[in-house]
Amino acid sequence: MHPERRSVTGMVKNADTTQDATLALKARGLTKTYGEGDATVIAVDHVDLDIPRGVLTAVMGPSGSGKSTLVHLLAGLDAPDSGDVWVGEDRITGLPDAELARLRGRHIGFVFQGFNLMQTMTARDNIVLPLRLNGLPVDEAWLADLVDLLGIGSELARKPHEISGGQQQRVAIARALITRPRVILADEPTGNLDTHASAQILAHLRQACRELGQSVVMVTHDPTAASYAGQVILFADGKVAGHVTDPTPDAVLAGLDALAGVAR
Amino acid sequence: MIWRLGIGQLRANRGYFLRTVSLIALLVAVLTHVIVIGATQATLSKRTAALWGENFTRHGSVVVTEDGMWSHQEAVTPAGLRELIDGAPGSVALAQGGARTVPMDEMTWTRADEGFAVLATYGARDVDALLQAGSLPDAPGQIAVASDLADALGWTVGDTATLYADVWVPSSDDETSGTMGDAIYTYEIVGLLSPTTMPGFWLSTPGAVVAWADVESPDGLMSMPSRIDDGVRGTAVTISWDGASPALDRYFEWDGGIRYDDVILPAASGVWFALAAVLAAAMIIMSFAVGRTQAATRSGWIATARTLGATKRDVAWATVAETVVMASIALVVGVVAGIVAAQAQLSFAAARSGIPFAPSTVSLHWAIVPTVAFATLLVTVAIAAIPAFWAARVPPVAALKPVTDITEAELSRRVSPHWLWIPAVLGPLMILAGNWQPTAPLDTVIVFGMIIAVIGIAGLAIEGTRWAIPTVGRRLARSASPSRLTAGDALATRPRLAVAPALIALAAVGVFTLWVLDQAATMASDAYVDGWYAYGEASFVGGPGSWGSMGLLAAIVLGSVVVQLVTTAIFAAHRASIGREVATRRALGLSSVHEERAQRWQLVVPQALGAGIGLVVGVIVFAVWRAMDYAIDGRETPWAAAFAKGEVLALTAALVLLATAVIAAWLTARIGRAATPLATLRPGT
Repeated sequence: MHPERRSVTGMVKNADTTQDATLALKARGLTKTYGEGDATVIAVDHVDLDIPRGVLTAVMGPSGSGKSTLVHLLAGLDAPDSGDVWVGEDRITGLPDAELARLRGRHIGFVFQGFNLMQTMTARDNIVLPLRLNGLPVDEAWLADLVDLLGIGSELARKPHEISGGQQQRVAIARALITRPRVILADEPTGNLDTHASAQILAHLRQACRELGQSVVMVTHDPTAASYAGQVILFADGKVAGHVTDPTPDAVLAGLDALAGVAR
Repeated sequence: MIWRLGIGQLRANRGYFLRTVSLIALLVAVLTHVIVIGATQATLSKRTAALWGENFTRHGSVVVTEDGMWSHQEAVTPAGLRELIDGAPGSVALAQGGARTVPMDEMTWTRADEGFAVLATYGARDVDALLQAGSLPDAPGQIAVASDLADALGWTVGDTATLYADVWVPSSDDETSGTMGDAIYTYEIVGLLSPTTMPGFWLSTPGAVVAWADVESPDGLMSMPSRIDDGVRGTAVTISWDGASPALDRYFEWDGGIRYDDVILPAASGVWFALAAVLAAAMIIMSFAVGRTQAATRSGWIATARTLGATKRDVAWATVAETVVMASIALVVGVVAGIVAAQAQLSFAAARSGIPFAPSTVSLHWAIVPTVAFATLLVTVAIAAIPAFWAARVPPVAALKPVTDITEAELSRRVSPHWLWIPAVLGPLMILAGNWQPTAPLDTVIVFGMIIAVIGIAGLAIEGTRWAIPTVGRRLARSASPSRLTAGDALATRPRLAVAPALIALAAVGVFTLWVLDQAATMASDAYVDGWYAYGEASFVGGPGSWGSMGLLAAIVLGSVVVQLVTTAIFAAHRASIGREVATRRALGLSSVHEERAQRWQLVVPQALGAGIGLVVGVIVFAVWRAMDYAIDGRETPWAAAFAKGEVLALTAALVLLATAVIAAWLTARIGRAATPLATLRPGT
């Protein structure tokens, strides 16, 4: 039987001998193109990527560099033209929709730029929604820990439009953490927030990695946001163009400048 | 500015535009169809009227006997009558009688071929156009029979038909005046005429034609003995003529002519009118349901326009301009479709019935387009006014925010049940103003109470539905099934959009139940009064497989399909407004299969609740109405049987509606399955 057709629960463990148990996410030869003929755009071009566990990893790059497409592929939201993705030890490439949905619900958390909360549900209902959708029980102690950690205890009974953008994003982070996923994918999580709220959200994401051992991949174009990460992957023209370890805003900017210099 | 804004809105909301234009076009097509078929029926009626001599300015009736004319001081025999008619150019005469194919005591009153009208004419008539085979009778003892009757009776040209006609049998004593009995006649069938029915149209053609000589013969089928002067036989003759005729005027006190009733619409028109009414009402409910959603989905576009200088009024007028475009397109498409549908119906009916003088093309009148255009504009503006109102209310700053109370949360704002006061007070007052009876104030009070009761029941039904939908939604949301809990969340958290399909189903099933029970009561009452119980029961819709029952079933299916069209349009607007939420659920672990199932639940549950409540409310409202208006006890014969039949029909209608809801839900979910979790990552999706 082709390994791509197996269920998540009975999923073939990674046959790739290079698989490292310390990785939260791995990609090999990942490629995605859009359009045809002269209009063909290679959004992601044979990318190999290792995302370690318990680390906040930032993916940075200029607009149109393909970083959002990369995140779509890593999350199993979009299918690559070629290449493979592993979430933890599970290979997700080619899985049927139902199994992909199940895997996303249990092992991947999402934090979106636009928060994407259910506007007619309370903050608490939003947080536990992934558990309900996946038939998992609510761990009240874990929920209380998350609420304390993120400081949203007073917002639980409120609906999203009744609380600030920063608070909404904290609720979204709690929703992403509630299933204890293998990895959280955050797409421009501070894109709609002011500086103060952005700093708090980034601090929370870093805290989740350091204190809870959570793995987070964050797409951002903000060097300050990237400086909260443990490592920065620089992305350009659909390829990994460099890494910055122990990043500071200046180091990230220098890396971006170097990319621009190469481009010139 | 306004025009460009309107075009911009159209482009930005293609899906809504296409669905709404399609629904309005359907409404226009139905209205056009009704009007064109009505005009065609009028043409057919005119020709039929000419057949009966009802197209003349002067008209007189008399009974002619062999020894002189009754009801007139000057005696005219049949032969003398013919001289009179010949002396007035253009005048015609017609005699009408009746014949039965079974003796009086064997009549069941349920079969159309048990009796029919027999016609004899003198002068220029359109009877020739009726002939399908053989020839018209030209001698006593000959008869031409309508082909549908001949088919039913197994007759053909050359056969001998035994017919019965009423005859007065004088009493042998002085206590009673006499009784009706059978006179038996034998006729040779020389020709076959057009059938007496034409599907979808009213037709009034004779069941049989005999020669004029029969009228002049005292032994013919057309004459019967006098009750006044025993033994003298007479024939009722109607003479029609145009203009003054000294000869005829001297003998007949003419009545100024009989105007045929050309406003009678064909048989199927009631169904089409009902469909148009259901569609119009459903679309207005739809506009309430999707108005705010539309404003929300348009908020980004509107905000951009507002920041670029458009005023609230500009946005509102732009929406009106948009609706004018929608109405115009719908008008053209709908009118053409309506005319084509009417022509198809006429061609089918004419081909099926084989009636030679049926018009081959539909009758078009210059007033059709202006009438339909006016109605379309009214409906479209009514539908568009609500989205326009909400669209104009979106402030630019709020609309530019990704999440605001206007773009999202107000979708489900609770509407206070205090609205019930408005119809509860205004309705009875308006009706009372026109029906106040100073001489019988108690009657007025009873009417007042009945109106209040009916409005109260209807109001309770609406409020009950508004309560039931989120309640059922919350119960579903506690389910362990991802599809049911997703549907439950949608029903519980967006009751405004969920309640609209339920209210449409409630209105459709409730009104149908009332109508069908009223029909049952009327028919049963007529049957009771006439003493034709069996006939009355059978004539209500007809038995299984009859044209009446098939037509009613077709109307129920059509009405249900119309309800589904509007319901799915509301659902589509709902989906468009929550596209990002659906995508987020998909990202959080909802599979496409579960999403599809959730959509089915979301579509079917409200309609099931609405149809159920509508059925119960229809029965209860009719019980109130019956008690006041008919003053009959539903447990008594013949009403008990009729009501049971009516309730079964109403239940059937509710089940058909649900069946179409299930099919529509399946189709809609299949089509809508393309939702992708990728949409979550796209800002502004």
